[in-house]
Amino acid sequence: MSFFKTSARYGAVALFAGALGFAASRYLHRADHGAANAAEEIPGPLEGQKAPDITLPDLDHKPRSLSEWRGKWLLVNFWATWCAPCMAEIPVLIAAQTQYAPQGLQVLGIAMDDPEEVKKSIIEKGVNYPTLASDEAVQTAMEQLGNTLGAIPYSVLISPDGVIKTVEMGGIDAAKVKMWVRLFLPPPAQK
Amino acid sequence: MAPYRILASALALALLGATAAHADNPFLKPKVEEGKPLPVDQAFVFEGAKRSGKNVQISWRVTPGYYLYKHMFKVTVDAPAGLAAPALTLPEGEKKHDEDFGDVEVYHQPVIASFALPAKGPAPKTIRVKYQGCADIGLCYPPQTRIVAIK
Repeated sequence: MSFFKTSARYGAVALFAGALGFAASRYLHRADHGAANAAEEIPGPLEGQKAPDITLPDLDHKPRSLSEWRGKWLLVNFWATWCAPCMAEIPVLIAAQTQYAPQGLQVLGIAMDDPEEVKKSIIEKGVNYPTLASDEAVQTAMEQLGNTLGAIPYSVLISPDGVIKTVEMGGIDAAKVKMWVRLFLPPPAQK
Repeated sequence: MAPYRILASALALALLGATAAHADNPFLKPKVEEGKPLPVDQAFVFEGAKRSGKNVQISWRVTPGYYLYKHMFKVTVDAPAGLAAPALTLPEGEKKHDEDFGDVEVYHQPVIASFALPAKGPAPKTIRVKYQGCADIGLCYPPQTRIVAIK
């Protein structure tokens, strides 16, 4: 009898411990998810600030300013032909331009590169959004938009009223663009 | 068994279980700080150019997690003016295939580029060195130019 009592007691302890352990692990897991999401949502020093009205030449050497695209959700993407991760994300940006233009998104490529090299690349890739290009002037523009490191790819999402909503150092994929669209852009119009 | 002992055992087991489950949690792994990219001069430490016998050696240290492209190294002579760009000799790099660039070679380790001094005529005194590299996390730095005197 005493054997059964002891076994039942140990069994209860094991069950209780298991349940407590599971609950603690779920709590920690949720806390970390929360932290990860919070990290994405914590604005950096630039978010919420007015974007400077940068002027750079387009591929026909005509000066263009960011303010020309006021009224659109402007996704500015800094890239170069010598940057493999930049070249790899161009198809994502082409798709984003097609898919989210009806919601007001406008992609703008800014290449830190020789305009002639840029022209060749955008034809090869079938880029469907405007591109500006220069060398040192782009470096300065990028610094004005928060990238003091000078590394690319670097993307900045600017609201229709010219406010920086988010910045991203490194490549962006379709999931990231989708997340930004869901977070910031108005929902698609009902047909 | 005394009730407090049962409770203590249960808590110890629970803590053990939770810790083990938590160890596999990907959200616990360091995120931003570990991947924070370095300034270009810390990623690629340019160590200058020096004479070594009949050659000039130009060297770089490359921080782990970063790499330099072999095809992006270039040297021209600033002084004396009018000297032709020397032909650079570089070690064999790691093979890397890129969808846009094709097959290239990169260096994740220290690199020494060298060129031979001319057998006759004036020797280069000041050179202009160009190089370019990226971080494994998917970032690239603009081509860098350094003007250095040969020691």
